[in-house]
Amino acid sequence: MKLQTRNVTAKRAARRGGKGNGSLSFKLYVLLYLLVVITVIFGVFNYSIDLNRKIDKLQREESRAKQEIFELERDIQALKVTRQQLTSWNHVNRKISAYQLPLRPADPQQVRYLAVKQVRKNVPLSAHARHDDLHGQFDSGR
Amino acid sequence: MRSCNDTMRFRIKFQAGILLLIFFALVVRLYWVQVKDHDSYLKEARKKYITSKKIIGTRGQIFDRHGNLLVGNMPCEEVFITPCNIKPQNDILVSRIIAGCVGMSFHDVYNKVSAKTRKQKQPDGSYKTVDRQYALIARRVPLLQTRRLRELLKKNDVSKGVHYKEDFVRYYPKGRLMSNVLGVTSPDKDNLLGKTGIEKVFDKILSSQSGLTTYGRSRDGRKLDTEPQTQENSQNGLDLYLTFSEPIQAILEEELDKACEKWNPRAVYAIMADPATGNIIAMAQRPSYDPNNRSVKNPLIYRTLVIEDMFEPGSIMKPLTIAGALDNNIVRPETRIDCENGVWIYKKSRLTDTHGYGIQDVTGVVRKSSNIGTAKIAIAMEKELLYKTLRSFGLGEKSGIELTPEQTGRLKKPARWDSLSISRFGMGYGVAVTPVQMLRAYCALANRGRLPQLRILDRRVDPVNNVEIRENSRVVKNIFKSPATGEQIVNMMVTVTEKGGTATRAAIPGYRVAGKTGTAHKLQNGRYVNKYYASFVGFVPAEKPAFVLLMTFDEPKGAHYGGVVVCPAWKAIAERTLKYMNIPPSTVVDATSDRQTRR
Repeated sequence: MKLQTRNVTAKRAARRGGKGNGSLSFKLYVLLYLLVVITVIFGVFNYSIDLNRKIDKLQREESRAKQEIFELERDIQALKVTRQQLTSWNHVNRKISAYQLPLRPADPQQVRYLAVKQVRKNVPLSAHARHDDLHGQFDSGR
Repeated sequence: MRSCNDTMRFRIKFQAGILLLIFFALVVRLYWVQVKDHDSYLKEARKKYITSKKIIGTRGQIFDRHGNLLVGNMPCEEVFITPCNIKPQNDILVSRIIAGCVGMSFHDVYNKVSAKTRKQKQPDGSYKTVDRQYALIARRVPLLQTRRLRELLKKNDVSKGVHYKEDFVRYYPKGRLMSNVLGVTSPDKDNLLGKTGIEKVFDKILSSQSGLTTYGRSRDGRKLDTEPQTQENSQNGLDLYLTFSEPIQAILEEELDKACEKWNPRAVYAIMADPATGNIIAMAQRPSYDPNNRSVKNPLIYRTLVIEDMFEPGSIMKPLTIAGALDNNIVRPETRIDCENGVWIYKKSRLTDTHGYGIQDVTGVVRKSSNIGTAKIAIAMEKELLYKTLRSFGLGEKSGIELTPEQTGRLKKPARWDSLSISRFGMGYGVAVTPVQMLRAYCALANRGRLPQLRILDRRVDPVNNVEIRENSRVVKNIFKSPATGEQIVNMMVTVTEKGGTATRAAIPGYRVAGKTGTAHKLQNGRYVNKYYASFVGFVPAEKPAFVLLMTFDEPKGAHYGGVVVCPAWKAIAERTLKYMNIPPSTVVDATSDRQTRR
């Protein structure tokens, strides 16, 4: 049985035209070829997995950032409303009473008017400035 | 006899055949799953990982003309739990944390947290115990509180089963300020519905529209970009900028409260407007309410009295009548009228003045507020002209202000007047007006005859793209035929606040104040009773009015004359407003003598 089997194999190999040494190199070539192909496929596959992982990570970061922005916007909105509440006259008035701040209405007598003088042409500005400094007045500079 | 090779061949062919059959079966199954039943499987899968979320738009906010927020949306959260997901041994701890942060009683929270199951009615009528998936803890919880709640739950590692939903609450940062004008909202499904005031009138503009987004999600709830999203965008409501000025409104309400404390009236109305544009600058009433706390059930405080209440105006009507008479040459400022020393019988009916006056010119009639003098002028005008004059000032019709429900007032047609009507209508009896109508009429006087359209809305702004839509002011009509009439009547009204007038308490040093006091008996059950409306309407500076301010006290206690009750409050408001508006005095005041007098 075993002899017959060997014979059949030998006959088939002979029919393909292969010899013992040629068959080995062919096998090595095929093996190498397969190895290269498998490595490339493996590499591409791994690269795509890595890319997916990165995409996933970025998406997580994006949604976290979006959520943070959303929460910050809500915080800003709440703070705006609170600011309006704290700056309302009713609130300020209550605080003035509570802390007994010695505030009083503005006295119109405190307002003083400054005379704005016309500067004569062809006279250096510094001369006016010196002159006005002496008299404690204000010049428009024109 | 079969050889070994044949047996091998048969075996190989047999196994190949079986493999082929299996492969074929798989192909068929694949076809069945991927093509034939594709839709039903896809639907089933989508049910698990596709979710939809409602996007709620925000209602427009309301600002004053300077951009001060009057009504806003305060972000808050709804706190709810899934009781079956909270471990029983954590119930007490979770309840204590929630109760502490949200401000509820421990027992209320614990009852909700510990109820893990509920009875569910089955189609056959029997009851089955199922897990309780939802229990509401609290709505409208401020963000600070929910943030603290999250932190504490996370710190104690008991966050599971406690959930939060974003929400907004309509918030009034200025509290009671302008509350009756701004109005309130009430929840309506996912939106808010304006119930009163500006919230109701501009509800369509302020309202937002909800959107819906559908997306695929991962196990941890993240959006998956692999699944196509569909999105119907939500639309935010437009922001409204009113013609009001918050600082002036604050001044008005502060002084109004002081006056209310002193005179304890049943109600008070006060409105201030810019006569040139018709812009309402401030508007207040007492009683009012705090829109952030609507626990008081008195319906009176929720009404907008300045447009809903009608009253007999009394003497503040006189300048309108006299302006009509001047414009139609019935009288002139120097025309002398016998005021009958305070008592006059007309058509068998007695008409009196507060004090007895003899002969007065028309300016004197206004300054002294003589009923007899005004009645005689009205009689000289005759029915049709008096009616036409009062109508031309906008009495008996809606003022057109953008608030509801506005009353039209009451001004009968001449055909329905009785014999005494002509002597009474001209001095503000037998006629009913709303405070807004009267203010508008005085705006026309301040404007020298140009009747403006009152308005409260300055502009609408789309908060997304900042597009502004301005509402323009307009003058409706010119009342006076003669250009001199306006100046004549204003000069007469200035004398009212000068020495010898009825409103000397409303005089402001350095400014020419024009105005008119009014004191009217109240009509109850068809009879005039000893209860009063005390009013003062005026404008300042008289030569170019910055504002017209009307104030009316309903049933003041302790005194009832407009000049006594209303004028001091009017003066306080006007003085502070002039300072705020930075309007310089028209006449020079001797400050030194003033200071010496004060010392």
